[in-house]
Amino acid sequence: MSTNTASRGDLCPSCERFVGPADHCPYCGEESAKSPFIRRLRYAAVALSVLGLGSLFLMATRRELPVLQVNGITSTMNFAYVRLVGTVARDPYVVRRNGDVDYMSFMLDDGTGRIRVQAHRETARALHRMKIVPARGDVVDVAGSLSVAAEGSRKLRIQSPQQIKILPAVTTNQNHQRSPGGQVADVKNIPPKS
Amino acid sequence: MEQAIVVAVVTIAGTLVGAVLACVPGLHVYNIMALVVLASHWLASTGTPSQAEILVPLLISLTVAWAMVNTIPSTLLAAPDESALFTVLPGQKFLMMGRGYEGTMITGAGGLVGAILLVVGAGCFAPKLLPTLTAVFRPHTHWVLWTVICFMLMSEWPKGGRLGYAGWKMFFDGWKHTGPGLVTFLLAGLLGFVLLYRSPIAAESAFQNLMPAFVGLFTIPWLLLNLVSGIQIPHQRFTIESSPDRFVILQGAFAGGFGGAFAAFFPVITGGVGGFLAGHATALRDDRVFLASQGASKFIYYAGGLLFFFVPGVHLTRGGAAWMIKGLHVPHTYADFYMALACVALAAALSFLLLGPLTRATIALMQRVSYRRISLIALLFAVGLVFYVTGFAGLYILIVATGIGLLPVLYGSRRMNCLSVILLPMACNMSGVGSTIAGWLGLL
Repeated sequence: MSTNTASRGDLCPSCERFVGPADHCPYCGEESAKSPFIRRLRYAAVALSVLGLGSLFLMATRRELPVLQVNGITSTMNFAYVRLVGTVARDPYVVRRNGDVDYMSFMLDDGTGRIRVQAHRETARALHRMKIVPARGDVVDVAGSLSVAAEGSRKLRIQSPQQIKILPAVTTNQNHQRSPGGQVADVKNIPPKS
Repeated sequence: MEQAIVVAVVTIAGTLVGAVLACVPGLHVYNIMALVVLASHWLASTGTPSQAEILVPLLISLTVAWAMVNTIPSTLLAAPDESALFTVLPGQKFLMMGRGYEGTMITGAGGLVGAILLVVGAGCFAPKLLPTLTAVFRPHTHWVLWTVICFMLMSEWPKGGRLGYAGWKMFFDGWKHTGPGLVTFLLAGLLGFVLLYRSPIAAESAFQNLMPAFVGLFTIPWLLLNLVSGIQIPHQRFTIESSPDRFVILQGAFAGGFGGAFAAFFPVITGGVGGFLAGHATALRDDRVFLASQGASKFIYYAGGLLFFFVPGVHLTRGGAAWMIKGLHVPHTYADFYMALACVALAAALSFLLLGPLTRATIALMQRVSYRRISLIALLFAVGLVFYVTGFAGLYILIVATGIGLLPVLYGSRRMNCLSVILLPMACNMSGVGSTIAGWLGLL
């Protein structure tokens, strides 16, 4: 017959009764003999996660975004948060659903290539509400998330109205024909389902 | 015919490579695929564009082989990816009883049945059913996701609060495991928001935005604890002692198949969550049935999620593998779909045949090299890979994520709460409030 002997870590340091994995002794209430290293590691994990996340947050929000060129976009940049500056090549395309703006997009040309810039749902509605709808010929500074698929499909998705700025045309020395007051090239109305 | 031979040869080669690499603890198939994608870009920049009929079967076979063979490090070296969170506990039980080989083979058998279910089911029904299912579920995906999140959080029962006098002490004692679980969920969710909206990783590596987070949340904490704990693995036997009959395997595989298919179909829900739901939905009690279910769930999640991308007219992009292939090749025809199906079938069969010998080889290695040394090498490799792909910014994210990933391990809560890194921000996005919350956090 074999005799099982508990290890020191399984016994209460105060009354030396068996407590197993419990953190506190149910007999005398003493904190069980957990390795001090594990206890310190617990506190370190909390500190690392909270402070590290805070500093990561500061690092992410204060980072200056460099301006990217359209012809430099590769498929490894899928999901990248980037900034582009260029001219709106065509009047924007707007889709309305149930009478409200649901989608908006325009073609951006930065001189090296063209990319479709999109806004969906709430963002599209907010842009429309705040009258931040770039027209053909406008120069815009836009930031957003890239979507890159094979066969050259590239899109930039705006996630908030603050990510798009319509720049004064005079600062860019570009000749362009600006269509009057935010004219929209194409509006598609999706009727409500009966 | 020539193309078919090329596809078959590449699939076999990819399976062999994938099966060997799957034995490396802490190395995820998405990390391997990231290296393949980077290599193909480098080749393209030197004037040698990669062929789709070589690249696509290679990536599929790597994924399938990894899904089948990764059971080995998950069970024997306790370095699971998030889809193996539930396999580890019963698998570790088998390991500590000297039956690690048996646990691995049972899980692999479940994976093989899952492969058969996937190939037959997807081949016969996916082109017809998937478009309809996608159209039906698309408007409801967001609340399905929230329901899964609520179930995940609410199903974690307090473990303490039963001994001692009633009062605040007992209250805090009851929450000392569940509370850190909720804190982990929240912190991982905030990390996910930062990575999805304002990732500090360079744009050229953005396709691997989440890689440092996942490595830090799941891989590094377990390897660290392997180093600290000094666990001794008993001698392993190469026999199947419990004699699982076909009903045990089939019961587990069918249950796991539902979980894996659920995870493969719905966005954001990963293999770990699918396995978790399968386990609860089918109330599996037998450890062998549980292991078989987790094997099937993991396989169908990884391989099925990738296969759905090839269904003509649907192109569901589920899982990192499909997203990476999407950047290189967009399938259009039924020929692409059946090629992918053939790759999955061939790779699954071959990798299952390799599972036994590789398990024996890993056990032999463990008996020669200490557990700690293997964990240390795996740790250095994982950190090095993250640094190579994502740079210093990725390394910093890895460190932060490691801190968060250590919380459930050290406080005894569920590691699945770390999946909040994608669950929470994506659920908010699908509900239309993601940008609003990101704005409140100052990320936009």
